Amino acid sequence: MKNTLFILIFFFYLTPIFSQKIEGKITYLATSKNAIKYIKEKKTKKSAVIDIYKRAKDVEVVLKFNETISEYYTLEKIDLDNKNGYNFTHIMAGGEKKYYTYNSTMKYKNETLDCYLLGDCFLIENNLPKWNLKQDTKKIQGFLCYKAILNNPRNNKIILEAWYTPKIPYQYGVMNYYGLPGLILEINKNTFTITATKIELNPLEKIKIEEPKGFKKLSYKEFKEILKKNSPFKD
Amino acid sequence: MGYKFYKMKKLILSLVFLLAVGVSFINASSNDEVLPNSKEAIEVVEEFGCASDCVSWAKERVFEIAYDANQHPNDEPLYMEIYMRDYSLCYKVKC
Repeated sequence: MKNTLFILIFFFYLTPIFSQKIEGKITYLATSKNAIKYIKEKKTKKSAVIDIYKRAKDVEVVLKFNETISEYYTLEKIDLDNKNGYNFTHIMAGGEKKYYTYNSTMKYKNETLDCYLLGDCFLIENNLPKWNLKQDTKKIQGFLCYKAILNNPRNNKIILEAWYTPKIPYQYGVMNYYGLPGLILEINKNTFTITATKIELNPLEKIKIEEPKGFKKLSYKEFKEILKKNSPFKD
Repeated sequence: MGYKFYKMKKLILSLVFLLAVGVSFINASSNDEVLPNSKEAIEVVEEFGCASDCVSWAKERVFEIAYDANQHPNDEPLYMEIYMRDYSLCYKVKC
């Protein structure tokens, strides 16, 4: 009887913890400011891309999420008539694309809504990145974050570094980088960085996310095959 | 003498007429078949040269960006997007 009572009290206290539903909005700042410094320090020959790094402007990015879905998008629109060129940071931060991550009971699924590359709008299902979890920690906006990295399978060199916080226990993230044991608050890809600048959890106004519907779907494999057929780059 | 000169003048004029008609016929037929095509071919070559320059320029930039990130342009669709935007921009400005 005493044991049963103990178990009941235990579950009584535990239930609200597990059923706690966090929703929120995270604002990030995307920047390529370190690119010029990188070129000056590391490059021996003249860079062909210094003009796009010089022209790059910081971009604000938003991740909205609730317990079932997250939506990621940039706040800037591309200026197609600009003959001086595009904003490189905007393209690196996802450009006109939107990214959705779904949290089902069994697993997370991430999709890109891309209306540019194939000349029509497609929902492309992304593969789960193969993360290597590290012990390094740092604080971002007061949240303790852990480091995870992605290596290039071709040469094992690091291609991306992510910082996630287990305090926000969703596997949502930035663009198609997701699937870590906590929400991603920062990514670093060479000289390009996206960092959380404002974290709003459980705001008074309910977070509304519309699922993309009515678009043609492609698996990542199908998408890559189409791109490979039309690729001007030889492996 | 006057009659002979008159006959001679008539003959020369006829020959000149025939020559002029013949030449214009030759020119007319060659205009239809050869000249427009060769002109078109030159234009196509020029256009192709410009587009080809844009391809090389865009590819060089994408390879550099990907290389800096320890990647190959085929590793991520992002690089294809950068390539397409660079190529479109170049074509719009230069071609």
